Formats: sequence, structure tokens, C-alpha cells
Amino acid sequence: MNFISPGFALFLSIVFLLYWFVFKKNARSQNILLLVASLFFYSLFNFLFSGLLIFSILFNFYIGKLIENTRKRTARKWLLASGLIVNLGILFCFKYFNLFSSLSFVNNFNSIPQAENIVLPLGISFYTFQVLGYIIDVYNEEINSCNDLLIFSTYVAYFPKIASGPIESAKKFLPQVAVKRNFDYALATDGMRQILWGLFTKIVVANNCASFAQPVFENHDHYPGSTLLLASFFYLFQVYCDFSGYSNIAIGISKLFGIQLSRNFNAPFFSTSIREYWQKWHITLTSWMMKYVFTPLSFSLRRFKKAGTLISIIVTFVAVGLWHGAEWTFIVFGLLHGIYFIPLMLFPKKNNDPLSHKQTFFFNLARFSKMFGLFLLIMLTCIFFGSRSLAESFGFINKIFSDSLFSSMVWPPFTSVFRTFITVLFIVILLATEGMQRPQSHELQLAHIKSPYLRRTIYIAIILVILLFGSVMHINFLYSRF
Amino acid sequence: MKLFIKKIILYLLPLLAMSAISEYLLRIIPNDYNKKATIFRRDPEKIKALILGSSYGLYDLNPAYFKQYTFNGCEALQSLDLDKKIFDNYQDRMTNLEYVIMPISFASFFFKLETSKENHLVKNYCLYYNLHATNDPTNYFELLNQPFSVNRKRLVDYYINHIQDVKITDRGFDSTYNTRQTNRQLVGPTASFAIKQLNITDFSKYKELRRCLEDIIVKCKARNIGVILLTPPAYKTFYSLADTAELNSSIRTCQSIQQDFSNVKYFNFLEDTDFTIDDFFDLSHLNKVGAKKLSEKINAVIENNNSDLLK
Repeated sequence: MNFISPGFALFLSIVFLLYWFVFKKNARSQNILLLVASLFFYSLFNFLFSGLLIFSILFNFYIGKLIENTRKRTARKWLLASGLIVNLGILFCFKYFNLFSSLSFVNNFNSIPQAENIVLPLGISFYTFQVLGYIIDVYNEEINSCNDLLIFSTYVAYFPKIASGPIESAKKFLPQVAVKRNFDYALATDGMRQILWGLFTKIVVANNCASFAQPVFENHDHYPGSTLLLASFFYLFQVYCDFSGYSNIAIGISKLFGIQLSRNFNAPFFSTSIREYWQKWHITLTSWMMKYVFTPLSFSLRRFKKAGTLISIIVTFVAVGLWHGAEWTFIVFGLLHGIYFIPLMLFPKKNNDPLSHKQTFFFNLARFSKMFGLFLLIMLTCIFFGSRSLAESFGFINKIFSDSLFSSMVWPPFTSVFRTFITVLFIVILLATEGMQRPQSHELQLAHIKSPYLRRTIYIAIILVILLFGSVMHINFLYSRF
Repeated sequence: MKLFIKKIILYLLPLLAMSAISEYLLRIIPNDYNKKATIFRRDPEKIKALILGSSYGLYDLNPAYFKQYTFNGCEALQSLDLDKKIFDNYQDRMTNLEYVIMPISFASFFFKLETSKENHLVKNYCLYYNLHATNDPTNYFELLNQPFSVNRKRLVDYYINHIQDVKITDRGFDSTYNTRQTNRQLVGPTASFAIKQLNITDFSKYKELRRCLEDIIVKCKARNIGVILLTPPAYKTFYSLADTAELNSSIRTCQSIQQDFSNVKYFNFLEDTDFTIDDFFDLSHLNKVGAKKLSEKINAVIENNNSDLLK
């Protein structure tokens, strides 16, 4: 059941009304409803994989308790190791088996088989990383293990975030579901605004970008470099708006139930360095990787000084790439991001000044050129992200840098100059809104606009734009396949 | 809480009212599907020969050139499962039906509209033929099926600009393919590209779709209705560049079905040299001129094999 479907709207309305009118008595009854709704939601994608989710919940709940109750250091280590092995083992079986079983093809990148033999359980990367973070935190005594299976199950299976995150830390989520939630009008209306913005970015921007980018990525050899360049531009915005749209909808829905999820994006295209970019793009994954991969790795390699840090960064970003899927294109995607960090490490600037909230950027040419340069580098990595094989990616890039870059555009089917212009216009509106709304927790937080009429006009205008210019041709969320 | 729900309803009410009105207005816009469904409902007993299938029937077979009263029930991308549903729905009312004619293309056994990229078209069968063609509820509403921008254009086109969307004749034939394409589209890289787009990669639907066809044939046999299967003509670039696996598979299946069922005759026009470049609209579809030729051939088949087929 897609977030953007009449079925989900009905499901959400029913759960919302039951939650606040029937199950409002205490935290326990609220959690029972959320858990049942979440398992129902998950089973609609694949009933059998609900069993895997339930296994993951039970296993990690009890392993967390065992780790906490064991005093012997070695035994604790063994328990943690078994927790990591089981969780990563499941992830490996479903997501990476085909990649590693095909390492004999390593000299022939074109023929790496896709992970098509094994069906991927929905959201497995997201919930596995969540529970991994939980047992590591329990092991490190950063948090106490959860004593209530219902609360823990709600944490893992919570339907707004199960399919594509955000990857929530137990430390932030568990206390919220441990207590009774009271209806908070301001939070709920804020959630509705965030959902509206999410719908705009997904249906209007991402889907219109997809209408141009998808056919070009699927048949890039039939298009000139000029079309490929524009397609890679649109593809980057498709990925961004698709995922940030999903995140905004998920966070907004969660607010309706009085539960705050972590922010996942924060105007990443206004970054002037790759470090800043990753602090603003898929924030919950970056934070997870920094905490559980980069920090321990760089600590263990600290004797190698800069080289150790560099290796840790490269490994971390290859892991980020691999997290997306068992394909070489994702590995190269991660590797490139890791490589982009090298100049930062070799020539560190003392005065690294990320764009502050109050600063204007429009008239600062140096800052703008940095942002633009970074944008182009990210666009390059996106070609690997969107291609089906490395050969395709290199073919795509080769063609962009060929003479055909200066030839006239070939329009993909169902696109037109007008539609493309409209899409670019909405991208500009999106960026301008993000630029102006950077101090806010999301783009439609308009409390600083005093006139309620103006605020309502903006909401109605967005609804009309969604209705008039939205596209449902690419309605599935890209990140739900991770 | 009450205030929140009140506000949500306040925002939703105008949208819901607008949606209901738009849904109604969209449904009453005449289109090819509701016109065909109306004919099926109004005059089913008139139909003596029924053409079912996809665009290969819609554009390639013109009922005007058949001696008997023939109705073209094809639509672009109409897959065999939908042919079966249409046949099941109206067969009892087509009391004088003698022939069912079905062009079987390279894709017929491998393509199902419901699971294709164009699955939004399934709504036409749910809404206008009243078939239970899918479990997806969005296919039972015009508004939920397409972006509002598309529906808005339809509303403006029909109610303001008075543009009609009906392209078919009273016998269900679509004569909009009335020209011949340029050589560029029939040979060379554009043609190869077009053929690549047509190549099938999913063979999983074969059994299901073959069963649908056989089910129609069995029901026809029970009522002494003859079935004519045909592989439609294609331009030489097509059959020289297309994936032979799927083409051969379709042809072999039709031959095997002909052997299994006495009421079936199969004709392969794929490489029929009677069809020249002037007969094609594109690589695999005929234009009006070609359609006349093919229709006359099939009509002759019916005339000559009358007793053979109606055993």
C-alpha cells in the first residue's frame, strides 16, 4: 500500500480515528493499535515477510535484554556478535547474496547478475539498521534495553517509517511510545502541512522529473549528450524529491499520532562542501554510519593518522553505497562520495563556514560557485545511482562528454518543452522555498507569516498545483526498494 | 481534536464536491470504450462476426469489408484476459454469433494490460464495460486513475473546446491510421529503436494468457462458433529485427491450438508479400489501405471456409 493511494488514505483515516477516539485510554492501548496497524500495513506488501519482521523484533528484543543482563564482558561480546551476525546475515541473505555469489564475475562488470532470484522484504535495510543500532547502544550502555515487548515492537514496526525510514534511534523513539500521547493540535496541523509539502515534492517535482529521466536512463544510447545531461539533472531531483517527499509524508503522518520522527533532509543542495552535504542528505543514515561505522573504524585506525581517517571515510561511504543495494553501481556511487572527501582531509580549512540560517546566498558568487560545483559532482554520482550497470553508467557519461552534447535535444516519450519548463519552474520554486525556510524544521512551517489568509492561500495553491501539475506515472517511491 | 477534524473537513469538502462533479462529468464524455460497450449492450444479437484483440485488430481489420455484420471489439493494448472477460460478458446475448476473429501478435501471450505500464487503461473496462477487470480500486474511478491535469484537459477539451474523443466507426474500427509513415520510421535506427521497445522480457504470463484464449475457443466450440486466429502482417524491418523467440512462440502456439481445436483456423500473414510499404502505418500496424486488404482476405476465408469452421 503506497502512501499516495486512496487505500492508504482510508487506512490512515481509520487508524487515526481509532487511535484518538477508541484506543486513547493509555499508552498500552495506543501501542497495541499502532502495532496491529503496522503489521497489517506491512503484510499487505508481503504476508510472509511479516514473519521475518516479527522474528527480527523478537530476536532483537531478547538479545538486547540478554546483553544488558549479562555482566561478563566476553559473554556480552559474544551476544553482541551473535546479534550482529543474525541481523546482518538476514540482510545478507536477502539483499547481498547474489552480489557476493557473483564475485567470480569481478572482471566483467557488465555481467553482474541483479538480485532477482531473491525477493527483497520491504524496508529490510531500514529496520535492520534500526535494531542493529539498538543492540549496539545497549551493549555500549548508552541506553537500557527495552523491557516491554509491545513498545519495542511498535518501535521496529511503526508503519510510517517501516518502508523507507527515517532510521530512528531507539534513544529518541522508545521514550515517546512509552508514555500516553495526548492530542496536540499544533503538532497535528504541523504534520498535515508537512504531508502536504511531501506530496508536492513527490507528485509534482519528483514524478515530473521521473517522466523525463526514467525513459532516458532506460535507453540512454538513443539520446544525445544534451538530453542525457538534462536527464541526469532531473534524475538527481527525482531521487531527492522522491525520498525527501517520502520522509516528509512519514514524519507528518507520525505527528498525527503524536510521535516525532527525525528529520531526514535539510536543504542539501545549499551545501558548499561534501561534508555539509552529507549532514543534510539522508541525515538518519549518515548519522547511523558515522556512529556505528566511521567512528569505531577511525578510532581503531587512529595510529595511521590522516590515512586512517581517509580509509575510514572511504569504507563508510562504500558501506553507504552498499546499503542501497547489491550492485556495483551503488558501490561506485559510495566510493565517489568517499573520494570527494579526500581534498577536505588533505587540505582542511580552518574557517569552514557552512551557510548559516540567516545568511543570504544569492549575491555571494564564491559560495554559489561552490554550491554549483558540488551539485555537478553529486549529479555525476547520480548517474551511477540510476544506471543498471557500470557499463551503462560509463556509456552515459561518455555520451555526455561527446559532441552530441551540443546537438539538439531529443525529447523522451510523453514529454514536451512546456512540461519540461514547468518541471524546471517547480524545481526553482522548491529550491527557493528551501532557501527561505532553512531556519524552520520543514518547508511549510509558516508560523512567521502572520496573516492566516496568506497561509491558507499558500496551502490551497499547493493543493491546486498538485492537482493540476501532479503526475502519477511514477507513483512508487524509489527508496522503498532498499 | 474536534477543531482539527473540523478544519480537515473544511479543506476536504470543496475538494470532495469538486471531485464528485468532475467524476460524473468525466464518465459521461463519449469515448471509444463506452461507444463499444453501448453497441455490445444495444445490438448484441446483430453481431455475426466479432473481432477481439489489441491494436492489431483495431487498426488492421475493418468490419466494413466483411459481408456479414461484423463488429470490431478490439482496443489498443487489450490483452487476452480482457478479450476473455468481454466475450464472457456478452456471449449469451450475441445469439447469432458465428465467428470470432482474433489477431494474435508477437505480444499476445506475453502482455497483460493490468500489469503493464499502461495499466491505467484497465479503468475503461471496469467503468464502461462493467467488468471486474482488476482489484485495484483506482481503476473504478476516472479521477483516481489519472492525474488531475490529464482529466482537466479532458474536461476542457470536451465541455469548452467541444473536441470529441471518439475515433471509432459504428462497427468499432479505428480509421485514424490513414497515412503511411515515412521511410525513416520503417527502416533505419528509428525503426530498430521502436522494435527494441516492443521486445518482450517477461514470459511469465504465457500460460495464463494461453488459457484465456483456449477458454474462449472452448466456449465458441460449445456454441458452434468458428474461431479465426491470425498473425497480422508486419513490415519486413519488423520481422527481420524483432526478437524471434517471442514471434516464433506466438506462431507455434497458434499452430498448436489449431491442431487441438477443430473450430479454429490459423493464418499467418506476417510475411505476406501482398502487403507493401504503402499498406503500413508503422512497422507492425496497417493503415486504412492495408486494413482493407487484410479484411477482404479474412472475409474471403470466412466465405470459403464457412462449412469447415462451423462444424
